[in-house]
Amino acid sequence: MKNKFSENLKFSPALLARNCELRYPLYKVIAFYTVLFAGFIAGMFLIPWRPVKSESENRMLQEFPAFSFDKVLNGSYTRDITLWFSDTFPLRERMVEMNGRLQGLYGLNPVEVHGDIGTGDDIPDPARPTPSAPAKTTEATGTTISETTATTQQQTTATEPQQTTAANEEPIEVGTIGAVLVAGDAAYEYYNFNRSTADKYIETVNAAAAKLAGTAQVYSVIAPLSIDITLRDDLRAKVTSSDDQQKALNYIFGSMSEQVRTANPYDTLRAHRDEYLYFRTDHHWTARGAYYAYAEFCKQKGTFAPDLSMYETIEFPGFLGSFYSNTGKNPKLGDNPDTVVAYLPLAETDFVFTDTNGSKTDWMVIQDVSNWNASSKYNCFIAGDQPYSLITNKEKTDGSACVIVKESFGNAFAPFLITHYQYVHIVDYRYFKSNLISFVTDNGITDVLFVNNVSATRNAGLIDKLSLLVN
Amino acid sequence: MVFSELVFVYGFFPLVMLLYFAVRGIRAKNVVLLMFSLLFYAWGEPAFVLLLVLMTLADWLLVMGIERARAAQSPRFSAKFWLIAVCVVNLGLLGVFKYGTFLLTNTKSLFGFPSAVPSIMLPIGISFYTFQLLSYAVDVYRGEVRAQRNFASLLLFCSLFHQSIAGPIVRYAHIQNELTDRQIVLSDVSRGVGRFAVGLAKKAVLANSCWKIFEKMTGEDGLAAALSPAESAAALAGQPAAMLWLGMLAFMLYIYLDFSAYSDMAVGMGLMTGFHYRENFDYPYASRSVSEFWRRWHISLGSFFRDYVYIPLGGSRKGKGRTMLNLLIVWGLTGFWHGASWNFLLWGLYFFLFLAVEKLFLGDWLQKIPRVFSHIYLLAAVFFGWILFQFRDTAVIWTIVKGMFGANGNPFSSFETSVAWQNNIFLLITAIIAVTPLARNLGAYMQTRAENGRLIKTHTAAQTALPVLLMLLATFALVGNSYHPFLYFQF
Repeated sequence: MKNKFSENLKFSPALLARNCELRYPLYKVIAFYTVLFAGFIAGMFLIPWRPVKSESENRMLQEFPAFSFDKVLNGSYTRDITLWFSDTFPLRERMVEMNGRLQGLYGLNPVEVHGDIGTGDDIPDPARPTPSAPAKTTEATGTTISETTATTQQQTTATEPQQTTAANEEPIEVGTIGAVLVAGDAAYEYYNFNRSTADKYIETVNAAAAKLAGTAQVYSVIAPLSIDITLRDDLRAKVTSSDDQQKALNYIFGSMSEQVRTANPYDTLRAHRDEYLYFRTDHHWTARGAYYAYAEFCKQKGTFAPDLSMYETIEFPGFLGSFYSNTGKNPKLGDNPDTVVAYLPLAETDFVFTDTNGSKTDWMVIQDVSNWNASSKYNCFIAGDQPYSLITNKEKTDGSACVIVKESFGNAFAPFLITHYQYVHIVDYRYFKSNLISFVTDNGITDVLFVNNVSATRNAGLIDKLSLLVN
Repeated sequence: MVFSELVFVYGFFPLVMLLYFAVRGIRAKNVVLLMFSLLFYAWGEPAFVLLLVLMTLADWLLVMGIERARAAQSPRFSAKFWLIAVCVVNLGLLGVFKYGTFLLTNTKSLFGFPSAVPSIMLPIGISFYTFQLLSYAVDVYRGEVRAQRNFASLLLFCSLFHQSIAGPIVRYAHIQNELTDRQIVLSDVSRGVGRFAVGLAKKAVLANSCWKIFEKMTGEDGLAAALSPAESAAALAGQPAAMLWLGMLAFMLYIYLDFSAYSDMAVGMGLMTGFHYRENFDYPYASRSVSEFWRRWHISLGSFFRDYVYIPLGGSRKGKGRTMLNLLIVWGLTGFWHGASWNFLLWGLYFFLFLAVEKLFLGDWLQKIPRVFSHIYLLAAVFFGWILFQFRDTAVIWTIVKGMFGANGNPFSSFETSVAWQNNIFLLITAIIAVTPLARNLGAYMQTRAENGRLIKTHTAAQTALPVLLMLLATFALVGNSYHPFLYFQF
């Protein structure tokens, strides 16, 4: 007792220490519970703060489930609440971004690879005009992986059209299906050749050309992916898991029938590779990239493409596309957004798109998307992915008409065509429901353009849809 | 519900704590815990919560039978009879739900019977709570604890959400007093919140990221459920050796970080509410022999098999041959406990071999050689063990092992492999540090210094800031990745 008393009188560092030692657990507990209950309040009571959709992922977030006894019993009710709780957590986008920055600290990141690496089939030489059924042996390892991805993607696309309705609700892109390489402030999608899907694509285009013989001329334009065009050569040489697109394009174009006129933009894009041909944060090409492909098409058609300098341009800075969200908001991309440059049509135009519900909307060929969110800037072109739209050249009366059958790579391409026709019909084969052959006949169309990116020719889900349209 | 979901961290758990502190008296607090524990279990498995309750009810009644038989002079049914009944009920239900499909699949392929194998859902956590109930019954039979007269207390013991679905396998004897009488002490709560935050960050940041690296080796969904074994083997055959080593290293880190994180959180939540659970892990990768590893890995399972199987069988007291047989039985069971599949048996027997050799001569030898070699030996043994653990098909396992030594005809590395190593090098270093006692020792050192009056402010600041920082990082990561598979829920 006495000892303790005397100790209390001493004003020693050791005593202070003991006092502090008593206090730190209290601080620690208070600090912890502050975070826990701040999260509790945010999670339970700030319902209006909860986001409903994700800008960067372009999807509606999980909704709070409607109550039903069946759902409670089979567990899906609580499962959906769990999903809703985390999917729509207040400040979600900000936290995902913080997590992206945190992951940037995981290692040295001169280059990064996101997603699964696939293995492609061997790319044959284009010997035969019409491809026969592919040998079963080539469908070995990696195809299964990419085909599984394709199926998932097909499911996604099936639900997409419902969301392409209202004017300000931006349609969803079909994202990348391969792995993504991040080098410097730019991302690149891997490409793997898929023999059976490529052959089905060739067959489909050939079939369209055969059916339309005498009615319309079929053209095929295939956009290569940026990895073979703009990625630095020394780095490209190391990425052996991405297949040679030049070889793939040579095979695909070389296997098309005489009735198809092919526009291979590979060489011209390579020649202009120092220009801004592809987005760094998104898997699409820029309108400039699309222009060179369009110029190649003009050569095949026997006409001239107006020089790019003749166009008036609008710029939409601050674009963060699919690569940005696919890489979990990679800060190197996030800190260096893209600028979408659009070239205004050289003629006075009308533009009407038809959405999945069949309702028509007057719109602009190039819409001002300055105020749209960072992930939707590519939708400035032809109202994004609509099932069907029509551009009318008000300065022409000759009745000339073409149809462009495309996925989203065609969006930046289509506006250039209006120089040459009175009507440019635009069909997105993922959502368009009628038969293409009768559509061409009924509308007096003379030119049919299939515009795809090379990644579409390995996506079985997409090519199945294209094939349904033609057959 | 699992601990690493936001709905648990920022919904369920704070709500429980709020109500727990709002109500007065131990009975009311227990009612809160019990109600929420049942809700916690039912959240993921609405139907199987009935199984949990009914199984506990059956055991409650049967164990009272044991106690009455022990007390009576000449009972109608002996205590042994009641104990056997408990075992039949518990192991029977575990057998049906966990091993039913597996057994029938095997009888079908051997004898063609039955013609169609029913697919039986595995109730979450059944392996954990069945073992808790079994240990309770045996302890009553042995007279080590009294039977619990209050059904609600027994139900609380085996359904308590801290440990009901991911362990540790808590012994009734260890917490029986705390079920009805427990104190909440500030120093415990302080340790508890630290353990909770460490566990959550370990799971959400480190374990989930390690899993992502592992997926670079296997493809998305590391179990590759969609692929047939032949397809998996073919895909893995294309991986360069350096990728296979990276993937399995990441898996080795993942499996410890993941599982021990749940135990950390269980211990932490216990301390926050006055329960003292035994540690389930003691930095097992820092061991120097396989037998030491198994004393430090999933301690509650190892001690269960030791106390209820190995020692009753005679342990090592009945000669060398019998000891080996006992080890074989225990390790076969340990393997099968982890899952109804042959590879788990293989995995158990793999460790049996090491343990047998260590018992015979290697164990002494390992103590004598320089520490670094015994560490390498243990890490290598465990490393290759995880291949057997994670991959069910022997063709796949063989492909990976061959590929690691360059026998699949691939180059040693690839562009993507070296990029993956580079991109994750600091994460791997952090994860490796996290599986060693380094951080704990540093904390203890700081604590001692602070108690001696040095760096007090630094210590206080670090102790206060660390849980907050860890919680924030974990939250970012949980919002960032919605994907967090937890393997041990299968068991």
